[in-house]
Amino acid sequence: MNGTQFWSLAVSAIFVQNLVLIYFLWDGSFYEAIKKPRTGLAYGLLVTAATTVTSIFCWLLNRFVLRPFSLTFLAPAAFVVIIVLLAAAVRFIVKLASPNHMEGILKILPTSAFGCAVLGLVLINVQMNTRGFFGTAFYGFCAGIGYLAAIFLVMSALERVRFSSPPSVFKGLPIALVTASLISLGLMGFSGIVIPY
Amino acid sequence: MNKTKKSKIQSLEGMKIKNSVRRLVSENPVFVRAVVIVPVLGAASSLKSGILISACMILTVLLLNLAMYPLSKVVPKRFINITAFLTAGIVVTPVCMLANYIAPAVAPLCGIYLPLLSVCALPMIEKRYYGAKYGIFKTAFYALFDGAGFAVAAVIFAVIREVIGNGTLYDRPLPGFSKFKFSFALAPAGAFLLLGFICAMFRKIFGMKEDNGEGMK
Repeated sequence: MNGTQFWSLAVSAIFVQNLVLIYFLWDGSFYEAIKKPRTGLAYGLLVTAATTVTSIFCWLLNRFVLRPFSLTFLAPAAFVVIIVLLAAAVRFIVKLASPNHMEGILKILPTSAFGCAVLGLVLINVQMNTRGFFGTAFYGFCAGIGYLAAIFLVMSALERVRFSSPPSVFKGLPIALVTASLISLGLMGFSGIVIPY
Repeated sequence: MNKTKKSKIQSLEGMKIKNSVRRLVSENPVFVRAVVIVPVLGAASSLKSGILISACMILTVLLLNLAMYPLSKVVPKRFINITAFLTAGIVVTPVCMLANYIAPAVAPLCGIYLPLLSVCALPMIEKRYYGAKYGIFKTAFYALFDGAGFAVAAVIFAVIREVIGNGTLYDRPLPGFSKFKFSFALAPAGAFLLLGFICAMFRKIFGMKEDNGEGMK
């Protein structure tokens, strides 16, 4: 893959196929993440790390075990096992590196690793099995960046909504969904760009 | 049967029904608790896919709760989240295979959202099922109603989305609607907007909290 292809892959992962606003991978923990900028940043970075590393390992598993032995029907269970093992490894490393200062990360690690975004991205990668090893890893990284961008886009939009007065039945989830809809509409403008993947 | 025993049984039955209906309406996992909106937004774009994803969700939640019931008594508390995640991954695999076998034409329409039910079903294993508070039958009963709450929401959303976006219902053209398709409803932005409006309507109809929106989280 050349530089242009990597660039188009990045645009695709961050905007055209944004995990939150286009693929709807928006779960309960996303709500927690958009409450405070600091939590949002930590959560977004953890998800980015998780999507990158999981994409790599799941690509290897799919390429060398599941496809050659026709075991693709076991993919969901196999990917879940990989995610659990990687989360356990990260927990172990973080505890070893800094047992006292990383408690905050250890608290949000399960929700970020076991959320919809990580498993969803891995399943998307398997569906579009044309990117190769580096393409898949890079796509995983950029999709995580897209998730982080979505956190801050939705957070700042909801910050403005807080100072307005929507109808009382729209307060809370409905107005958040309407706001997400408008941002998603903006991102749909990128879908006219032709990307060779 | 004496009077006290009879009234106790009646009140217990009343509580059961009340609790079950609560799971469909005031504790709806999509419109109120918003814990499983991913498969609704992603997969429920037509009535057929809405029915399939609903059936798969009910089966997944039921199996997951039944599997977690004995496991929660054996596994230490600090490993319970990992165990639940692993169990969900194992449970959803046969559910996906069954969906592909029963509805081979509709299952691909659900795409990644069918295996994603494993993650989405996790919030429906509520903490109270982990302990020995409920028996196995009561756990299964409530799991069934939790799944049914999701199914109600998914089918309502799928019907509205298909009628507005495609002008059809169950792939049959509807007179009056088929000429005025509003395909925006089938796009991601349309799905968010539609769900937002349905949530607000649901809230208005059932007279839920209208003060600060906290009740919707």
